[in-house]
Amino acid sequence: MKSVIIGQYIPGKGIFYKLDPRTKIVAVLLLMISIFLLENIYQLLIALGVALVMLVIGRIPVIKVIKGLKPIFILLIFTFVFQILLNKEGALLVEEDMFITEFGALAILVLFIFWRILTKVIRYRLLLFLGFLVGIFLILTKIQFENNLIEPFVFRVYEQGVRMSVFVVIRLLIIITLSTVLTLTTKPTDLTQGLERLMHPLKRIGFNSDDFALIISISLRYIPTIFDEANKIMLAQASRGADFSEGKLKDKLKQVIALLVPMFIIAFIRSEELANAMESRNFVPGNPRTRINELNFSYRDVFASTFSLIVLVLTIVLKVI
Amino acid sequence: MGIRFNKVSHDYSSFSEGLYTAIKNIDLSITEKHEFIALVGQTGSGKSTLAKHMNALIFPTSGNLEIYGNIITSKRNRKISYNDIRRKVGLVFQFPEYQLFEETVEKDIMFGPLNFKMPVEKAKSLAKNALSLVGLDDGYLSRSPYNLSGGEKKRVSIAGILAMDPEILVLDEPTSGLDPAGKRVLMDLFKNINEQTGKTIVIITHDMDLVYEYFNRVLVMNKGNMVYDGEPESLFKQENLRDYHLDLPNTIKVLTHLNNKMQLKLNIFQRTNELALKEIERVIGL
Amino acid sequence: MSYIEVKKLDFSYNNKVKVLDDVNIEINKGEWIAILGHNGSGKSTLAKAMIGLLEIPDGHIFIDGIELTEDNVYQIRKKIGIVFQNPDNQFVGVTVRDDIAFGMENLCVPRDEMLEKIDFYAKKVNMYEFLDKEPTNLSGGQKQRVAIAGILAMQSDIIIFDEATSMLDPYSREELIDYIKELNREGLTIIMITHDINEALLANRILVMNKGKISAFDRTENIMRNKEVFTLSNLELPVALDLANSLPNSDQGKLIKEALWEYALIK
Repeated sequence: MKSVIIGQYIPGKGIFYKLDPRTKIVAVLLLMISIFLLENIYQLLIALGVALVMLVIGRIPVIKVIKGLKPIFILLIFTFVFQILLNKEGALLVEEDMFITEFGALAILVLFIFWRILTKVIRYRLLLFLGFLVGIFLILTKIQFENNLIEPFVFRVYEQGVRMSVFVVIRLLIIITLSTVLTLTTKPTDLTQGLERLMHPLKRIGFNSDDFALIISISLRYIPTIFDEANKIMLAQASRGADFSEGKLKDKLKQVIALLVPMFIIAFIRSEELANAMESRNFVPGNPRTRINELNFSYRDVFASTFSLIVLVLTIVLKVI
Repeated sequence: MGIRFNKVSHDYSSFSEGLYTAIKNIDLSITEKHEFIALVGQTGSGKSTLAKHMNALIFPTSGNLEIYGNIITSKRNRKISYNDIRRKVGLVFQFPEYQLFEETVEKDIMFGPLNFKMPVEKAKSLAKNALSLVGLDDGYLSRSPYNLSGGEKKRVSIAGILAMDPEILVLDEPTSGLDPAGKRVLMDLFKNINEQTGKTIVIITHDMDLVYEYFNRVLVMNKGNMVYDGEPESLFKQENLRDYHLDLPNTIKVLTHLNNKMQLKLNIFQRTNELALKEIERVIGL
Repeated sequence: MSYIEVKKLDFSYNNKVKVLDDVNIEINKGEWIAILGHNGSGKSTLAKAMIGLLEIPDGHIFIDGIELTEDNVYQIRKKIGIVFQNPDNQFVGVTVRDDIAFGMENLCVPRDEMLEKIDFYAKKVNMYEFLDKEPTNLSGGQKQRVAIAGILAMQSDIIIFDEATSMLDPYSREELIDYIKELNREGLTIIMITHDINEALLANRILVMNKGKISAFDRTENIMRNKEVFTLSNLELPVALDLANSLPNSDQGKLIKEALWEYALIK
């Protein structure tokens, strides 16, 4: 829970902490749209550079963000490989015959075992995984003798494939960086309030943004409580033999029910009691309320929103030209 | 056999307090039969943490635990069946009614025994037994757990652990939230089980009256340390009871007040109301 | 008219069993009332009725001369607040400050006034240092104090406690009760539903309910002396009074009884 930077607020100093949440939400939106409008890989690289510069200005430790991207790395690699394998346009860059032989299959198995053992000893899982992939590649291309299990096929990589995969990956990186900056520097409650203010106009079409925001902030407030309760119930059921780490699939289903049903019951009781408490303090859904927390615009917000707007306009212009 | 703590410490890291040591260097020996032990201490003293070690729900950060011959250390040992330990040492948490989840009372009580691979027929009969042990009749078996009163729910959840037929029973404030009559029913039940089957029972409680009336051995926790292990009466004779944030039983307090107010010489160490009454009658010459 | 008056209050959920049956009560300003009774005797329902959480009961409820109706529930709730049993399930705000503000926000109190009041009442309940803390970092007792602050901030002078101490550990319980005693000394009217005999003994008068009806409403001492009524309360006599009731009426016996009664009623 602690190292997942994506989505978690970490207190700090820096320009992004001082911006109004509304500015940040709108800016991130505008910048994301801009990213999607760019078609040129060089423009995209410039955009990546700008994003990195923003991180530095905002005094956000780049290393932390990179570490926080770890969970997505698999997704990025998957996307990369996907594009490379499937995109068949442009000049041919790589052409290799691949053979799956009995010996090759055996070699892959041995390599696999070797890899699993190594991961338990050395901690560089990513490197080992890449090494594993390279190993498979070599085995498939170089081991040509012995009996073929299937027809030899040709592995091809095209220029467009490489181009597109780099493109997509960089785009993803920028978008994730932008949203990480948003959630990293904005308290969940401020974020909710920012959203609420921005959604205010929706009231005219009957969507009550105030109530919606209250629902979200109350849900946020209960997240730690719910974690604690889940933990307690798991311990209680574990004491009755429902060990959540052991057991067959059929048992696991029962164990999950033994956790979820009590949690639901607690949630229902909570909603009723909370509703009573709120009503006794004169809460009426839909009625106007004053707020203790204020959002304040400053010159920084004007600067930031102008900047994002300019970026968007620039990208539109570039596209049209 | 039984449970032995050898210099056990346990560190927690929490959102609010960072790293802190819940229990420190605990040495404790609980024999597997006949013991009836009270575990007391103010909130945060480490009582619950101590209890959770007893059925291997959590492991020590340092030191080790011996439970029925199994050595529990900070590392998970694949050779030990921790589940088996949890059948032998049954732990009932505070507000156990929250763990009820099945459609019928019978099914819920059977959950434990079935998890421990007992045959269905045996589980059924254990469930029936356990239910009558807690003072509820067979009619409850087919009822839904959610339609029961608070006290009934509590008893059903305790039955759920009794049905596992544990050898040692550990209960965290089993009487909290019950009315005085309900408290007595449960305490008499536990005392009964202890005397008739010889099972060792450990009860965490705040109620000093119960401690004095029912127990012969009390463990006191304070700020993570075990500061007392012995007879309740000697504990109450200690000067520094206040330091442990413990109160005296009401019989002692009331008799002390009478001595002070009326210059009497009552023996204040009386375990029950009846004994206190007899002492007063003795002194005023009846 | 008394400060709080309940006249001929009847209520049943779904027109089945009567949960409240012809309830008539008068409570004076500044009194401390304890409400005792078995589960299902109607205690909590009565509390909810007084704060307007029930759907149109039959009968009349007057708070400070004003009758409780659907329209003026909001005025009434400025005078009377309720603290529930589960400290977690009534804490709405993300921080202590937000939670104390909640009631005032609902009444559209201007922001500056809210900030002032929050500081003032947080200090009053000794939670000033905790204003920016989140509920997960607070103990049950602290959360209950925050609830009280929120009620006081609405300038209420009647507080109902519906078993507000039953989920707290003994230390927090004592702390909270000490604070409630202080509130009562300052003139607040306290209505306390409880299962704790020691809390009940702090009251000026005790209301005992049974199956929706009022079995007794009398001075604390009289309730304690009335065996029949007392069994309906679902409580056990404190040790001192149990001994007092069992002693003979000899001269010595009487003296000891007096001393025991004195001990039991020390506030």
